[in-house]
Amino acid sequence: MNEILRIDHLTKTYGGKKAVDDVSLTIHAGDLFGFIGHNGAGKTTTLRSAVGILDFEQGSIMVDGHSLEDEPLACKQVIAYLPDNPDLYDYLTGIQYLSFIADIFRVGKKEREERIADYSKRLELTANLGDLIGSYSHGMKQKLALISAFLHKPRLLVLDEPFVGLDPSAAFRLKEMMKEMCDQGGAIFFSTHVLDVAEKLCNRIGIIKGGKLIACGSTEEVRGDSSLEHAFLEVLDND
Amino acid sequence: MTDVFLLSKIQLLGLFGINKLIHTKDARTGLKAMGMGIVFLILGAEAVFFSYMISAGYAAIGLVELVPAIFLLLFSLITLVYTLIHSSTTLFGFSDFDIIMSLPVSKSSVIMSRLLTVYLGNLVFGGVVLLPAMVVFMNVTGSPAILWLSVLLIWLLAPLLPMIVSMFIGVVITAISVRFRHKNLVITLLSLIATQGTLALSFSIQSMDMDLLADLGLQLGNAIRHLYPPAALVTAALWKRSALALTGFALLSITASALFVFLLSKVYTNINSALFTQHTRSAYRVTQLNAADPNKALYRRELKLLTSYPVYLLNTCFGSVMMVGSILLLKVFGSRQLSDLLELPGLSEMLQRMAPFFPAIFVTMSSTTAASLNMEGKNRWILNSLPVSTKAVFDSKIMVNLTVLLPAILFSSLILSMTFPFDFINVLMIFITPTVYAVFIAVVGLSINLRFLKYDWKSPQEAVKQSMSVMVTMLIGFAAIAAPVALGLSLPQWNQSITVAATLILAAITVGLYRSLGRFSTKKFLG
Repeated sequence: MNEILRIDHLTKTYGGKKAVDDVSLTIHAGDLFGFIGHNGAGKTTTLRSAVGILDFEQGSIMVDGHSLEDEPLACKQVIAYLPDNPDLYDYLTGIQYLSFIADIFRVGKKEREERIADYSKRLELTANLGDLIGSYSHGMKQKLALISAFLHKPRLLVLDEPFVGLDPSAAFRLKEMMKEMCDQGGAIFFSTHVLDVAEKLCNRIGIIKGGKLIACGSTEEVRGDSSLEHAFLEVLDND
Repeated sequence: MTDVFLLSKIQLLGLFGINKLIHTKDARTGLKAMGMGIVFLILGAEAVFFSYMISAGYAAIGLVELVPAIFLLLFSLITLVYTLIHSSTTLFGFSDFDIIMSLPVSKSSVIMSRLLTVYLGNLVFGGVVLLPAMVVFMNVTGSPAILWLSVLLIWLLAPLLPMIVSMFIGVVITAISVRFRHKNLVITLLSLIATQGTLALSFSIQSMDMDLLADLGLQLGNAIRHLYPPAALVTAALWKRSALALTGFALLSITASALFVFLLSKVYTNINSALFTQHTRSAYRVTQLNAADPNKALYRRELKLLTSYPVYLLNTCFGSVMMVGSILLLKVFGSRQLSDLLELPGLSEMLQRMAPFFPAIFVTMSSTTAASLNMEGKNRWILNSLPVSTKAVFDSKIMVNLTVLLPAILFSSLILSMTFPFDFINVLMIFITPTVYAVFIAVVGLSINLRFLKYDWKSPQEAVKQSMSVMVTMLIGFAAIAAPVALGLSLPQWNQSITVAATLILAAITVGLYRSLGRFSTKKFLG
């Protein structure tokens, strides 16, 4: 299977404290990888390191065969990242923002029109695309950021708490879009606190605690005979 | 008052990154703050020196009676302009508005806390402009020590009236602009008109002073008191030691401020709500979209960033507007009158001998790049996660700076070359020198901003006005103009060679600096 993301012995320190401690994991094409853990466990730091926003002290990250350290632009060309609370340009309209992202990723005229029409219809944002982002609610901003993430058909989608702020209908559509992407050979690495979603949606799960990856494998392997919630609490208690 | 104190404390802790400095363990932050402190001290010392020397000059020609009034007027004009530039962003549209307004504090407390921050800034101005003049006044007149209490009170009260006038203009501008869809553009335009109007007024007052100075004394005093009546009260309070005049000045300042706070509190929420309310059509349909290459997309985004924040646009493009305005004044009035009007004694001579540097003076006031990285603020994750090189981001920022400057340079150089009978080389340099300065100031601004980043701002005003990078860039720009002009004026026979040499040296420095920018990775400036 194609390796889309490989993290080897990643260590990231903040002021002497290890936020991420020797984390290694691999994500393949078609994987929907759920990353779970308590607040402050190191999820966001790992995700931000994986997309090249954060420097790290030790380890290496490969994205679609490219080293993040040596070829950051080649890596970013195939990644889309969505932070937990996306601050978008309030001074642009929704469509201006999407056009900007499409231009940067060199998405052709026809493709961008089709994709924007499709994704914005599915997430029910079409009518608002002509308005300033500053006028959007939190959920609308989240939807716009999601459309921008899917717009260039990335090989790897890195999402930090993507379901926060979405209405039930948009959350359902997002799950559909995530599955479609993985079916088409892409991979998704996302963090969530909603264990039920992770259990139903993901084929692989990683659990992080105090910066260390304490469990990682297929959803079945990680949860065993119980639910993911039980398994999560048990793993945390035992560690 | 406890609320005002607490709200002000929060704001003041954010000012110039004071709180960060207190709690940081990073030695570099401390060094930067020390550097910033030294720059402030130098600027402050210069202002104290000039204020002292000018007021001593007035005293020497027997006009000591007028010193308090003249300097109160000068200080009031500085406060008027400084506050006017900040007025709309100080009171309205700050990012923590929701949090602040949800607290159990009165609107007047919020307004007072916002005003207090500006007041303290103006008080510092007063300390370096007004107080040295008062020292001269007290020494020359041999006033008793008890009069220092009056001086102290005047210093504390002096910022209030001009501040309130500016804030009132700012409120009117904001109240008008909230009715428009493109409110930021309206705020920028109205603020520009108001600021230019204030500057024109101050120039006319200054030129009037110079004319009246020929008559010495009484007429000048009357003119100042007529233009700014509170000056009459201050003169009476200090010269005649009138407690009544001092009380009158205090009552006027405090009553006007209290009235302003009271009236504004009545409409404060309405204006802010209107400001935060966006005009939405919610009727978009995806039809035909245009595609552009990444560099063009970055440039467009950068241009939109500049035009979307009135305080950013106003402060960084002011030089371009001044350049065009001054060139038009030069065309209409001639160099001698312009020299008097701008109170730049060597200007006429400089225009004859070192003309290429005239537009360049204004170029150095217009660095959009000096705050351009700060302006990315919380949005920087977007550029950071996109597949664009650092160079492409930097180039887009430099190009926007040149977009602001080059049309103004072209227009000004054209007018300038037609105004004086220059030879071919001089005409050529009139176009080339300011253009080189434009690229220089754009590249320098970016280099300096990289060293003094400020991302954690609550209002764009902090990113632009309270930024070390903007100040350092302006100082470097000033030095880059002052050195060749001083040399050229002292060696008149070498004017042209000095102009050419300075332009070439600056071009070489610019190329070197531009290359050094390539060393920065996106993580370094956006992380």
